[in-house]
Amino acid sequence: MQDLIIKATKSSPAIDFRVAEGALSIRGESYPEHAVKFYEPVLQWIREFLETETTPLHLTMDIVYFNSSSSKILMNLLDMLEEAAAGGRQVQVVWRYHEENEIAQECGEEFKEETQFLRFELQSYGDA
Amino acid sequence: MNQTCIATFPAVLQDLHEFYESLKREGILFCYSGPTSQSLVEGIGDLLKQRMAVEEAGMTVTRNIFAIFIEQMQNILHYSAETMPPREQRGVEEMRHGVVVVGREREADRRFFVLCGNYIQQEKGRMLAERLDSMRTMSREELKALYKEMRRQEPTSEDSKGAGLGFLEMARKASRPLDYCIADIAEGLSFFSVKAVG
Repeated sequence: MQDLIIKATKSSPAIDFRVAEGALSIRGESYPEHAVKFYEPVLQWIREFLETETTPLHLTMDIVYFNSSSSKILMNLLDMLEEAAAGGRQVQVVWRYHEENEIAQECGEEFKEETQFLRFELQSYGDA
Repeated sequence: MNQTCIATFPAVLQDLHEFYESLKREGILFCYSGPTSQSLVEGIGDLLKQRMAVEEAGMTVTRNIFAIFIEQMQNILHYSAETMPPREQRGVEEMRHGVVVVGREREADRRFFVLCGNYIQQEKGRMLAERLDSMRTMSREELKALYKEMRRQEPTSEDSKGAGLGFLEMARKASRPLDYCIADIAEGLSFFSVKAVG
């Protein structure tokens, strides 16, 4: 299985998934024209990783803004991780947001409320 | 006023200056009418953020208005019943049409608003109106609960990608309930417009 690297565009986030480290990151804005199509390889990669690899999974999400169709897909993605965590897999999600982005913070909190088994952590950052 | 016009403008646009000034009087920051595309949505979205910075809108208001704008525009992009070319021609991508207006209200607190309109099948328009009616009566907590519930629902058909979640998103980002207007235009066809205030 190979790493999954997708460059960011104005309306779609950068995807950087590394097999060896089990380190995944989704970073940027998410309001592509066809969210389902954009996230298809992303969800597929995670599905395959969970089935074929045994290493712990660490996902960092730093999404400045996402639209409603992305929201639905990100929920699917977290459900997938949640199921793996419920089955005993070590899964950690870190939701990063700029300290002045209240909306991103609230969105992270709302995702966290939907999870139970995986470790979901919120982390704020300031200007670098 | 001294005015010389040598032009064959359509009647409605004959006094473009008057049209322009009347928009400004109404507090309109910009408006767009015509075919939509993803790159148009991204471009105007950028402009909107810049324009709001000039207006010294707060960051949270700007983010809320931007989110509302994206949902409104992508609704037109995906669902407007008015398409050009009417049937898919070879090599010509189908474009959906609509109109969007962003402005500030004239009341003292001068809130920002996004008003959007497009043609819609009458039947769908009625369903949407019912859904908006019920959303208008909901509290913040109820909207949140419904949002979470709908977010987990599998789309039932191709036609309902993101079904209604966009309107809930707007309702949650808006500072008061969404206003809407539905006008029956012809057999089976309506014009639907929604106003969200940030």
